[in-house]
Amino acid sequence: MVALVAVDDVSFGYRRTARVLDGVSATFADDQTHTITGPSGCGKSTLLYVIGLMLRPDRGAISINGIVSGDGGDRERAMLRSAHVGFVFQDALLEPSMTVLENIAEGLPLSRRVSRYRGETEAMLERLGIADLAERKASKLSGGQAQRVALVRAMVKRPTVLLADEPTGNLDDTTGAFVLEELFTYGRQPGHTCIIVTHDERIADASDTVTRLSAPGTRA
Amino acid sequence: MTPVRLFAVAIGHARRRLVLSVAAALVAALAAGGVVYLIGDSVQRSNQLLTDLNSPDVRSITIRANSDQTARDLLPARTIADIAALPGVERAVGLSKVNSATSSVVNDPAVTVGYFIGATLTGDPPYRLTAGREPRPGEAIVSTTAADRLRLGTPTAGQIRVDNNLVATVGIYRAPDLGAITDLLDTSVLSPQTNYDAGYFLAVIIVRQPSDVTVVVDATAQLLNQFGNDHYTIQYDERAATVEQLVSKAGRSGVRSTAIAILAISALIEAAIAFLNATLQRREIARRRALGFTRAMVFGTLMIEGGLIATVGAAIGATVATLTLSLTTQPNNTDLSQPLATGALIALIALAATIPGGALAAYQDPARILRVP
Repeated sequence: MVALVAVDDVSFGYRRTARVLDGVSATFADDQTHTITGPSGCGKSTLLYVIGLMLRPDRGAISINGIVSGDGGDRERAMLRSAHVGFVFQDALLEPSMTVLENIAEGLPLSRRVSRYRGETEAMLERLGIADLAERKASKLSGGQAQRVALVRAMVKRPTVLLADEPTGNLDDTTGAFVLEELFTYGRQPGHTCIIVTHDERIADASDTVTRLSAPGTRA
Repeated sequence: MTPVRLFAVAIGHARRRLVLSVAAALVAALAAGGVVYLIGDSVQRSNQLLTDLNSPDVRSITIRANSDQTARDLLPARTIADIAALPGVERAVGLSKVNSATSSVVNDPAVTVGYFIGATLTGDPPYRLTAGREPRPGEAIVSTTAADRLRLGTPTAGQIRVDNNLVATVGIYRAPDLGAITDLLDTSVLSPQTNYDAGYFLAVIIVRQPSDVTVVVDATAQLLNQFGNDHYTIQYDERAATVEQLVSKAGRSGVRSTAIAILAISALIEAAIAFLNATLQRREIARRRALGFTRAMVFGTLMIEGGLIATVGAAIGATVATLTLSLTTQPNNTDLSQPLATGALIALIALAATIPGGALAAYQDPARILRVP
């Protein structure tokens, strides 16, 4: 197994608040699904967004698929994020006025044509059982349907690392289980990995590795 | 990212926040329309004033002998010829009153039709025949009004009595561009001449520019001074001396400060709308950042959105104002450079006003917005 994501001695603190992450190091191998867990406020989501290159660590570096993002500029980090990272949020975060297909298109790599992913998108919609919703406005979707669309949006570009922040928090058990199965399946493919932030111990138990953060500033 | 996708995102933004987009376009339209109308109206008023002040009435100087009882009372022909040759003089006409007694022909005490010998001193003859032919010596041309008063049914075939002599009339004339004495000539019978050595009772000088009036008046006064101040009267329109100031004042009167105020207020409102737009789109922008947008792309999207809306609004405003101006004023100004420049300026100002809102959106922390509490 290869460490697709490496967190090396990362520290981070929001302005005017105490340090949230202090010297955190971790590796996330391919072909596996990982969870980050811990009590509220311990920095789980912060670590996820640091890994997703949405937050710049005060110290340390993140490497994704061997590409180290240390002092890279915003453009470099955004390009790396666009090419290698997929996000699934607790709230599906779809644009209500746009159709399912338009929402999915937003998640595609910015340097490539949308039409290039048409076949892959249709196949994935079919597999997740929402092919008939392709032209429906996101505002007309149920919570479960919206989260499936968000899954397609995150996975269709085949990112190296799929990051999920409490992805089942707003879903019923059946839909939650379906979403988790998709995330686990994706993470367990060669050359890919999935990192889920959750406070649900059942999800942690089902994953391949667990990173526990105990309190703000804790070294993992 | 392809520019087409960036454009599509910007247009999508604008459509989703339709109320804000319409408000921003409306502000740009009102600002552009207001400034275009303000400047256009000012230019029209300046042009109108300039046209008025350039009329022969304003450019004419009338030199009148205070008495025409004897030959000594008349304006000396040689001096008037010198005045007519002054620089700046465009046309000059001397009138010598031969007889005003046409009462034997027109039996109406309210009607006076003069009989004049008119000498063209400078410029083209002002007596333009529109019918008939050039008069031979001893003949006269007669205006329509005078012919009517003299009851000459057909001016070309009529006769008038002057000093007990019958004088043939050969046609009607018009005397345009002779300023204040146009009415006088319009009701006169006139015998045009080129050289006339006897004195004139009236001379009309038309100068080229209103600003020449005072110069020629001063020179005229100096030349006529030798004959005594009570010998003659010089009349002219005093507005001519201050033409430039009048035109300048009419063109500016508060326009500049009002236009600046409109531009400043519209910029503030556009900036406020851009801030509101950025605030309302926080989660949308944070999501895009998570999906790979750079700060520059977020900023660029909002600038494209702001620029498009401002351009559409400014174009509509400038067009409506231009059409309104052309409908409410004389359509003598087809210069579109002013509306185009104003529209472009408003669009640029609106675009500049979008910068703070765009920067706010670009530099917001997407993780803080998207994080699960």
